[in-house]
This record gives sequence, C-alpha cells and structure tokens, in this order.
Amino acid sequence: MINHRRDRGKTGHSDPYPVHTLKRVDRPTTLILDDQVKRVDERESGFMRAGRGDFGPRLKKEYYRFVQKHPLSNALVNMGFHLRKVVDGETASKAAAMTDDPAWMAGHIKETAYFLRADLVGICKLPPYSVYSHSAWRGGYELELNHQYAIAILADQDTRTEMAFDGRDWISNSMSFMSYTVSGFIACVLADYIRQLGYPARAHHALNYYTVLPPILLWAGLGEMCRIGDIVLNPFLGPRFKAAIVTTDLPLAVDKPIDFGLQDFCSKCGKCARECPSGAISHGDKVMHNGYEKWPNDVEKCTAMRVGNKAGAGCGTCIKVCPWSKPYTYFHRAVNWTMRHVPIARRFGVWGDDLMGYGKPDPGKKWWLDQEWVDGELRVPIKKGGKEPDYL
Amino acid sequence: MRVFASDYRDDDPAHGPDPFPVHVLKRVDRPTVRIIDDQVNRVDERESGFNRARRGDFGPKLQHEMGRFVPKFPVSGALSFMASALVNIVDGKVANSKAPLPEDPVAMSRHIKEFAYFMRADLVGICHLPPYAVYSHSFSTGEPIELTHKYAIAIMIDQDWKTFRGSTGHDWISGSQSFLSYSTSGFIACALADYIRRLGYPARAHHARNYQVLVPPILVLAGLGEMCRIGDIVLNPFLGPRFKAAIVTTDLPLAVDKPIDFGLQDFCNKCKKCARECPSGSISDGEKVMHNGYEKWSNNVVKCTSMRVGNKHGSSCGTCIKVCPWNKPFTPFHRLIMWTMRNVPFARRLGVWGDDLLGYGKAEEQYKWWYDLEDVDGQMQIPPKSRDVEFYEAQPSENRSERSGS
Repeated sequence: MINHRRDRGKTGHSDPYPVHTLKRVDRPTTLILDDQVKRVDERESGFMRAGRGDFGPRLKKEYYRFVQKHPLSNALVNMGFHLRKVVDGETASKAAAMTDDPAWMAGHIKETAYFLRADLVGICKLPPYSVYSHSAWRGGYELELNHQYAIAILADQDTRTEMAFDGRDWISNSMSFMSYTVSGFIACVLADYIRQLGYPARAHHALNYYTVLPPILLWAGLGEMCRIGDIVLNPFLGPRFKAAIVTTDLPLAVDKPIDFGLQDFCSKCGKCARECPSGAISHGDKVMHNGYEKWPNDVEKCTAMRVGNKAGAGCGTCIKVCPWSKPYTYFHRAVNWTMRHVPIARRFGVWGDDLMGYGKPDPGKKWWLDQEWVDGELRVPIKKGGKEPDYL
Repeated sequence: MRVFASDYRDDDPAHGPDPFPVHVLKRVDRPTVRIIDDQVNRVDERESGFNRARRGDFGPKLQHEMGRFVPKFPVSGALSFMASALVNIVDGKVANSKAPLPEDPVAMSRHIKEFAYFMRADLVGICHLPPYAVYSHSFSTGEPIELTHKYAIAIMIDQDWKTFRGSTGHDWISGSQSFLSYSTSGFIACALADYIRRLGYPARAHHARNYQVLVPPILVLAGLGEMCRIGDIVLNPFLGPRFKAAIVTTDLPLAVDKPIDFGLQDFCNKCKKCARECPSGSISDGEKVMHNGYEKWSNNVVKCTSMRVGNKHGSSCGTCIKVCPWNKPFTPFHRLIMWTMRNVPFARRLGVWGDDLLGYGKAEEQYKWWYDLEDVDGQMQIPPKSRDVEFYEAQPSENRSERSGS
C-alpha cells in the first residue's frame, strides 16, 4: 500500500506524495472571476439531464442501468447508497478542549485522513460558488451550506486496472465507483470525528453532494484544471482519482493552489482530445465559461458516450491516455519532475508518451469479467471496448 | 526483482496479484499448529472475552467500561460508527440465475483476489470453511448459527505502521487502529459479498460488528499466517500481527490456498518479546498447551480483556502488536531481515536481541499525530498524561465462569 510512503515523521511532511516540492501560488492557474461565477444547479449536470430525457428516450433508459448493468459497479454503487445516510449527524454539545493553532489542526486532520487510507488530502476555504444551488434529489430543493472550510480527500482509481483497461470497456464505471465509495467512506468517518470534537461537519460523496468538487480541489492545491474540461489533474495521480469532501467550521489552516506548469503542458499535448471516443474534448484554446477561463468540453457528447456505451460500462478514456496517469515508480517520477520544471520538455511530452506505447491496454493485467445485465440475467457481452466507439 | 517496490501488484502476472511476495512462501498441507480436527468444538460467540465483560462476568466496573472503551476516544468512535453502518448489509438476495463465469476455479480465485486488491485490501487468502470456524451461537440473538458455505475468503487490512511507531501500544490510539482495520476490511467484505451474490452464488460478509465465524482458523488455513505466542492471534510474514481481517463465506467454486510455514513456531519459541512486554501479563512465556483441539500458546483472556476494556490511560491495548519484531515496514532493510528470519533457523536466536539493540518497540514521539481526548459524561476532555499502566482488574462475581487460560 501507498501508505507506507507516509513514514516521514521527522521531516514534518505527512503526505504520501512529495507535495511539499510543489510550487504554491496565491490564485489558481485557471482565471476565475469570483464575482461572475454562479452557483450550479445539480439538476443541470450531464447525468441528471440524461436521466430527465434531455438527450432523448434511449439515453434516458440507459441512464437507469449504465452503472447497474455490470455486477461490480453495481455492488460498488450499492455501497455508495449505504453511505448516503451517514454524511451528517449530531454535533457534540461542547467543543473539545484542543489546540487553537489552526495549522496544527490542519496537520492533524490530514494525518487522520491518511490514517484512514486517503491517497491525498488538501484543505481550502469553502468558496460560496462551489455549493450547489439546488439538489438533484427529492424534488430539487434549495441548498444552503455555510461551513467555512472544505477538506478534499482523493482516492486513486488503481494503477493496475488503469494499465489493463482500454478506457471504455466494462471496468470503467467500477473504477469511478471504487474511488467514490472509498473516498466517501473516509469522508463519512472524518466528518463524524469532527462532530465529536464539537464542530459541525458534513461529508459529501458521489451519492450525496452539496458541493461541486473542481473549485475545491483547485483552491486546496490538489491540482490544476486541464484540457479534459471539468476535471482537475493532480501532479502525482494525474486525472486518475475521485474525491469526496468534508465541509466544516473547525478552524483550519488552508493550503494554497499549485502551479506545476499544466496549463502550458495541456496547451501542447492534446492527447486526450485526440483519443476521446466521442470527440467531447476540445483541441482549441480556453474559453470563458461561468466565470472560469477553461478548456470547454461537450457535456452532451461526453454523457452520451458514458451513459450510452454499448461496448462497455462508462468511459474514462481521457484518464487512460493522459500522460500524467502513470504509476509512481522512479522512472515516472523523474519524467514527472522534468515535465513540472522544464518547460521545453513539455513539447516532447506527448511524443515520448506515444513512443513508449502508453495509452494502450495491457491484456496481461486484465482481471475483471466482461458481463452485462440484460433482461434479468448476466450475459457475456459481444462487444468489449475496442478502437471504434459504439454508443447511443 | 523489485527490491525497492512497496507494492508487488503491478509486477509479473505469473506471481499473482498480491501486493506482497506471497509466492516465495513455503506452503504446507497442514497448519504448523497441530489441530486435531475432530476434537475442536465450535465456539460460542457469547463466551468471548469482550462479551463476558459485557455480561458482567468480570465485575460491574468492566461491564460499564465495555460500553465506552471504544467510543470514549473520538477516532475509534467515528470508526465504530462506520462499522455499525455495515451491520445490516452483510447479506442479501442472491441473483436468480448464475452468471456465465470461467469454469476454472483457479481463474475465479484470482479474479476474487484481484477485486479485493482493487478495493485496496492488503492481503487476501482463500480456504475451505472449516466447520469448527462457525460460531455455535450468536451473541446478538443468542440463537444457534447454521452456516454451510463451502469457502471462506479472508481480507486483511494493515493497522498502519506509522501510527504504531508513535504509539506505546496502550495509549489512546490503540482502539482506533483496530477499528480502522475492522471497518475498512468489513467495507471491502460487504462489497465483495454483494458482488458474488449478483453473480448468482450465496455469500455473506463477516466483520467485527457481525460475525458468524471465528477468524483465526480461517487465516491459518488460507495461508495468511501462523499461530503465534500472543495466543489467539495469527501472525503474517509481511505485516506481523499488525492487521485485522474480515471474511466472506460463499458457495462460489474457488481454488483454495495452502497453509504456510515460515518458521514462526521456532521463532516464537525463542523470542518471547510480547510476553516480556505485555502490560497485563496475559501472554505465556512457557510452552504450548492443548486447548480445544489446538496445540497453541495459551493466553489469559480475563487479564487481556481487563487491560483492553479497563485501560485507564488509553483506549484498548495492542502492545503485543507494537513490540513484535515482525511488526515492521516493508522496506528493503526489513525485507532482508524478514527473509533471514524465515529461512535461517540459527538467526532466529538473535532476533529479539537485534530488535532490542536497534531500539524497536519504543514509542517515537515525533510520529504521534493524534490528540489525546477522552469522552467523560458526554464531554471531550484532555486526559492526564501518563505512561503508567493502570487498568480496572476483573472482579469475581457470582455468575463468573471458572474457565481461564483459554
């Protein structure tokens, strides 16, 4: 387990990756006009629109089975549903007599999350625009959340599986939901711990969100916005993770955003745009969108591919092919360092990645079973990923 | 060869998907602890040390402490809150029809292990479910238990090396380390059992808050460790005793693992560090004895339970885990020592001497990351700092059973 790398008590760095080597900046590397960003309505997300029928009746029907159609992602989302009820609870009536040093407290909260087997943790002030305006559940009620801080917990989607899959075969959804439930599990325990200390805290995970994740990840120094679009890319995990959040009023010192040269890298690489099976990722420049200057992505095409994939369950091709999505070995750490520090090397990033053959599935590592739930029984599907995408 | 790897999962597919090099271990037909199968009686869950404390067998003070020794510290409180959320999801409906699966049980075993490792399990092993590993009666209902599943899948979770470095073994974090591993392994077991039921085979998860099986015989038969001097505990060659396990029992046809022999019976014979350091004196420094059909080192359940439940300067106790020379990180240096201890019988004489010489087993303050707190009457307070060992001793009571040394 990665957690063995955390054993660096003497240097004071508790993180399992060398985040202390990253360059910190005052503002995220993506331009955000704070006063122009509107709160997002959860009902308007791509998945919810597919479920509502905005993308046609066939995708509406598929929306209700695209996670459940594979038994592994179905078991994982079922765990997520069980975690839905344990995100919040009673706060202890009196705050525990603890330190008033928010820096110590932030270090303690991170250590607790790493003890609970998180892969990376970051803390920021909760930006008001990262709270959804309306929930997608139970009729779409209005959301209010006044917590001051957000703690983001990252869970890796698993290197070995990522090396084995082709990005859009039958394991893709399971990788997402493994990380959703694992990070959600940690967030629910951490929120309960903080409530016992006498401060309100709520966990937010894939089956029960009040918050939009990307701005929190940016402000907490866990990554930069990337070409994929609405996704944050971490320097050590690449885009190969999912996150859960704990929002709280426990006084904490916050992390600062990071700059590892990704805006420059993504403007040169473009591998995700080249490989995206639905053409949802832009080859062009950034545009202004809801107060963010970011690469646009076509939510409708992306959702159609993920929900309507006929040859697999879900899609994570952009995660699969991204040159930053690599195991944490000495070789890849050296390349990773070079890409972060040597701007000229970024021109050769995608060329070297293609040359080494990355981005292709490794059948020797494939461990899952291709299965599809059709008409009340599991069958072996005829189509399994492949070069030519096939979706509704 | 990956000398510097901390994770073997991405290595040669011929070795299997395990994150530790289990393929180098010597496999044997029978466990290294003698088990006389037809003399082992099924155990009644109501007679475990904790449940006897809960019943009042050890006196009213320990009965009271039994209700608070986990939630009195907020980290273990939060983790047991999560474990409680897993109580009712161990079993469910089995799919009506069986999924088209590979007929080779070896391929299925590998697949099941891969899924558990995908869910971040630290080690997984599979065995036939021995009938004597099923509890005779449930503690929560008092009802007799019938469980006829053929196979048991054991899922192990590390209790975190870094935290053990900072701990004395009997301070405030000890119970949290247990419950980290209980609830995390339980979480994986519940998802795995759900997955197997969706494939059309019955499967039930067993975790600390909802067991129908006794874990140690399953771990031994699944090749995840040998019985050790600590008593009722199984010791793994890579994690030492620093883990907890959850089980999935099922009828899905699987290939089973074989027990392992890494020289531990010889090592424990010579080392005795746990017996020397045990704060309550529960661990024997003598020879093995026959107990319920097992030839094993005895331990004093009453004293051990009293120390864990009644610990006045901490929450629970894991001193035996802390001080065990096998409790080490998976670094090249320690892997070399572990290899030597497994393969060179003569070196085992020097094991405990070298471990003491290098200063292992002491708490290192700079690694302590938790904050000492104690819930007293609904209010979190800072407990007085003390490294003394003090615990509520078991008091004789009228209905106390006379069994001891079990």
